[in-house]
This record gives sequence, C-alpha cells and structure tokens, in this order.
Amino acid sequence: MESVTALSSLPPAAGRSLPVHEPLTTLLPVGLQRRWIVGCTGSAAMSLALAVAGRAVSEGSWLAAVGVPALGVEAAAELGVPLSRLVAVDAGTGPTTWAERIVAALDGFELILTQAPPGAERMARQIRHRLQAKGAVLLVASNRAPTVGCDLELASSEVRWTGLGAGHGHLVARRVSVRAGGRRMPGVARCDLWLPGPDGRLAVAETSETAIAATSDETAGLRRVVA
Amino acid sequence: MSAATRFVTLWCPEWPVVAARLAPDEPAVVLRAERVIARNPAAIRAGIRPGERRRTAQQACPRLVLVDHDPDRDGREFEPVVRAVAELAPRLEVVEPGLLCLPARGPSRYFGGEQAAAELLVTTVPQAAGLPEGTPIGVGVADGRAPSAIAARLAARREGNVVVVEPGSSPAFVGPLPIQWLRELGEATPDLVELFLQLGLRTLGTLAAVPPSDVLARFGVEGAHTHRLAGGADPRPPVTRDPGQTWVVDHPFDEPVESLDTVVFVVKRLADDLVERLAGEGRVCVRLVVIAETDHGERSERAWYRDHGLSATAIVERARWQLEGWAAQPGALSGGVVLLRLVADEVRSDDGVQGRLWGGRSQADSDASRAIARLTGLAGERAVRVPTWAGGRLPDERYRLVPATSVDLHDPTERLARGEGPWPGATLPPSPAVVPPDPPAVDLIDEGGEPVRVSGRGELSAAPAELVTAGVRRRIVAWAGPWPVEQRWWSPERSRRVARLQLVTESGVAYQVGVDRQQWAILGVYA
Repeated sequence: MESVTALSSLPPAAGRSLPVHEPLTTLLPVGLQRRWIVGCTGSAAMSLALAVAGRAVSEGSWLAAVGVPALGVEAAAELGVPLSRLVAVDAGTGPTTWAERIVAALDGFELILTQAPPGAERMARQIRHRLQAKGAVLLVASNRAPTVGCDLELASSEVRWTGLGAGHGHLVARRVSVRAGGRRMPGVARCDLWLPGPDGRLAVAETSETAIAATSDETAGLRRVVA
Repeated sequence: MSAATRFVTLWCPEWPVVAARLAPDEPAVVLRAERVIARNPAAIRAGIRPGERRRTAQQACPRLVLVDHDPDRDGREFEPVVRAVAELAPRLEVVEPGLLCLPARGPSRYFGGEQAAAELLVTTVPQAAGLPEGTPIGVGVADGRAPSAIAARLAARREGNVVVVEPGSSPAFVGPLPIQWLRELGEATPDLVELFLQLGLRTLGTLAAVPPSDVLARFGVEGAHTHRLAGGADPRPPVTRDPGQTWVVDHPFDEPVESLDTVVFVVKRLADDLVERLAGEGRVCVRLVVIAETDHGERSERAWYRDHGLSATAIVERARWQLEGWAAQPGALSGGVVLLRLVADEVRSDDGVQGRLWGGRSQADSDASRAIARLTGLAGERAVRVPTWAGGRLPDERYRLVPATSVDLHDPTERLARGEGPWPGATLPPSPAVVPPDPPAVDLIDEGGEPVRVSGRGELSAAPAELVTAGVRRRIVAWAGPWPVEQRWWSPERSRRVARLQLVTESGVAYQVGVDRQQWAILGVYA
C-alpha cells in the first residue's frame, strides 16, 4: 500500500487550490485557494510568504517575485522554494508600472509574491480582475497591514529566536505565532510554527499554546479534517 | 498509400462547452488563458469566434456566460461517450476528450460497411452517452488517423454527420481545404500557418505540391509533418514506428486499494518509469493502454493515442480520467484495485518535435516561459532575472540575479549548482529573507550611548545595546560576533575588511549588520 504522504509527489492538478507544506495545513486547510490575494504580515512576513509558496513551487508551479528587490534568494531555497522556478521581476517605479507587470506575470505564473508600493490600492481592481481570470495566487508580504484587499491574512507575531545569546552563539531557529483570518475565512486559525526549527525545517511548534480558535461550525469541521 | 489502415474518427466539436453542461439556449463559452476555446450553438449564432478575447466576446454579446476551462471535467464527461462507442467497437483509442478513433475494419465488417458503421455511431452514441439533444457530432472514415480526423471535423458540419473518404482518395479530399486547417488540427503553430499564407500556400493541396525536401529544408521537421498531412497521409509515416514491440510496466497491489488518489499515484510512478525507459532508447510512446483490475474481477481497459507522444504528465492525466469515469459508472466498481498495468503498444523514435515535452516540461513551464518573454519585452532584459549561484560570504553575494533570457530556463542544473564549498566566514542557515541590494546605514550604540566600534584586531569597543535606523531606536536583546570577512564590500570597487554581527531586537526581529570604516549597515533582515 502506498502511503498518503507519498501523494505529495503528484503533479499539481488544475484544481481549486495549490498545495502547501504539511505544517501549514492548520492555517490553510485546503491549501492556497486560487484567485485569492493572501497577505503575509508581521515581523516574519517574508519568510512566511516563501514558506507558503514552497510546496506548490516544488510541485511544478512557477513563482514570480515582482517588486521584491530585497528578496533573500538563499532564504527562499532554505524555506523550500526550488530556485529553478523562481523569477525576480523589477517593478519599476510607481503603482501603475507595478500593476502592469503583476498583470503580465499573472499570464503565466501560478504564484506571485510582491510588496505593494504606495498607491497600490488604486490598482487593486485591475489586478484582482486578472487574478480571477487566471486562477493564480497573489502573495503580498508586508510588515504592516496590507494595502491591497486580501482574501486571507497570515499575520506573524511573537517571534522568538533561539541560538543567539549575549555576545555568543548564532541564529538557529525561530518560533513564530501565526494567525490566519480574513473575509473569506469563516473563523480564525492560529498556529505556532518553527520557521525554521533547529533542524532547518518548517514545523509546527508543539506546545499547549498551539490552538485553533473556532468561531463557527465550518472552522470546527476544518479542524476535524486537519486533526 | 495502398497499405494505409482505414480509421474511423468520432469528433464532438466544442467539447469543453458540452462537458460544462450549460443551458443550450443561453450563449456560453469556455475560456482558456482569457481566450474562447469552445462555444455553444447560441454563442456561435451570436457571432463569437474561437480564439477571441474575453473582452471582445463580451462586447459582442453582453449576456454571454463565461466558464473557465477544466481539462479534468472534459475528460470525465467524455467517459460515457467512450463507453457507448466501446459497446459497438471495443478497439477504440481516445486521442483527447471529444476525439476518439478506431480501426475501421472490425466495425465495418460487423455492421455492413464503413458508411453503415459510421451512421450507427452517429445515431446511437449521443443517446447512449446521455448527451443533451442537439449536441453536435461528426464521424469520419479515411486512410489513416489524421485524414479521418479531418473527415470527422467536416462531418460535424454536414447533413448526416458522416463523411467517408474512399480508399486512396485522401489527397484529393484534403487538397482543396484551406491551409488554416493545420492550425485547427493542432498540427502547426499559428506562426507557421501565417508563414505558409504569406508564401501564397492557401490550401493544403498547394502545400502538398511543394517538393518534400524543400519543405523539410525550409521549415524543419514540423514543416515536414504538415506536408505529409497536406498530402492526405498521417503526419508521421507508419514505418517510423517500431513493429510489434510493446513495453509493459505493471504494479500488483498487496491488498485491494480503494482510494483513487493512491491508484493515481502508482500510475505516476509507473508512467515515470515507462517514460524514462523509453527515453533512454530515444523513443516515445504514441499509443498506450491503461488497464486496472479489481479483486472482484472488474476490469477497465482504455487505449490512449497522442501523435506527439505521451509524456508522464499526459499519461497520469489520462489515467485519472479513465479511473474517475470508471468509479462514476454506477455498479461498475465494487472491489478495490489489485492490478495496474500500462502497455505502450505503439512506440516510435523521438523525432524531436515536441521532444522537450518528453523531458517532463509541463504546461506550467511553457506558460511561465511565455510570461517571461512578455515581461522581458515590457520591462527590459535587466528587469526579469533568475538566480544563479555565485558563492561568497555576504548575504547579497550568495546568489546573483541574471537576465532570464541569458540562461536555459529548463535546464537550471548548471546555474544553481553550488559547486565546491565551504565558504569560511559565511553564516550558517537560516539565511535572511530580506537582503537589501543597497544596505541602509544604521547606528549601533552601546549602553552609554556611544557608537560601537570595531578595532583593527576585530574586537568590539562595547556590547551593542541599541540599533538606530532612521531615528528609530530598537533595543538589542541578543547578539553575537563580530565575524570578520575580508573581501569586497557593498560598494563593488572597494575591497576591504568587513565585520559582521547577528543581533535580535526586542520585537523579535533578527538582523545581520556589517561594519566598514566604522559605518554600520543592515546586510540582511530575518523577516
């Protein structure tokens, strides 16, 4: 008998969502919904966005980082994004050029990672329109609240690093509390993650603090699925 | 020509829109990549053309119903049609959802001639498959698969829905057809068809009249295919196929498996295995039989045909359609799957056309290539870049971004190979997710408010207490370093000693900072 985990090596189906790594399924029970704008915010925003993209890219999707000039390429690889399908696109100057290039990227990339420039909200409709037509997923990484309307927000907080002391050691592992919520989610899901853990991998931080706050029956149903 | 096998092709035009099961009286289209790929009769009457953009189609017909393309739906919905045909003629092969063909000999004998067999298919299949009334269908009979496919397409537009091309008369049959048929059949790119038109080759007959060697010399292998097709033959001569050789891979399950996903996963493994073995010999599979058996003795067997060759992805896709259709058939499946077998019974040498598909290049890959080309055109070569491994010790030196147009996107091995390490002085993972291209200057101050300095021997003047960026002070709760690096700094023309620190501020954010000539800067943020 084949194990269920082995299914992860299946080619991506043209389904309703893109797959995510197992530790993220508490936050994204059905994966990344196509046509959604997913905001990744807080003090681990960029790492979170890369981790969220990792599984889909490793299964064949392409990721365009549009207007992310400071993208840490090595971190992307460490967080599970195969660099063979990563393309960095300069967003030029101003929200119009930015939107124009996002729209062009939406024509062929299933995943787009971006940082919204000032004035991005004016272009949101145009981008959302194309996103709906193409069935891609737009990841918006931002330290603060996202300026483009997100279907789902993954907010990172309570970042704790291990390995670094007062003048000794080096950064080893990071624990992050992530809250998933938004207008398309029936409730709020919370999960503590190792981003990454001491072994370098993405993992759920197993403690009593890991809990899901269910505010509706649907979320309770989802919890049963992922439990 | 005398030896050509007679084939029957059954063609359901606009299949994606039939599969979507939309109301027939409302104009409706199926879109892929923002363009119309299938229209229902009402949309055709409203003047919507295939290939039209979403927006222009909506302008022409404001109440147009738009549906996104779903290949799985197309495959699933086609299964009842396949079963209905298999009732009459079991030796069929599915080319794609909406299109199947079978050797004419058996059914023609059994049902009293090719014409009678074709008419029988047209009258019985739509009803048996439960297709909505008025669903268009065409059946063509001719020498070889490709001419019969052309005949079926014409038949769908004609009274009676049957076109039988007499043996040996395929060239005369296809000759007068406009050259655009090549595009409709998916045998030539729009660019090639456009080129033929510019050269004054307006019909298939005029193309067929050009000496084959000239076509090959001028248009390569793809041109040679279209030339054969234009001459009323199959695009690849039958002699290129390996006679009598079949390749079999199978997987007996230890215990019956009832999960479709599990079975499909095994198909994927078998397909990879088969494709790899064939590719190792420079061969592609054009006809594949997928067989599944249950512990209750139920059996599903389906032949799939693809002239370009079946990639592993294409095999998995087709097997999924077949298995889903089997599972959806009432009463067909009561046990669990105990045996899975793939039989490649038509194999030929890989002639290089579409050859890259064979290496597992997917739809996603070609879509991305297209978007990269568009973005490059829009923003310039230097604005669309991919990472290459550079080595080095500082965060912004590990990978370099180079124009996507300057590398082979589909063979990233070389550009990403990390070569010989180690790199003494490079920090260990995790790496910072934010690496500013121009490291912003910051101040690092100690408990007494004095700037932290690094001595010539690489020692700090005092423990850093605060990180000051653009006037904002952040309390440092943990730090380590300095680690010296002796190489070029963020200004490339200068080469000097750099020392780095890792530090964590009270908000939990970690930084990598570097100092050069007593000026600190942020090299990376672990954000």
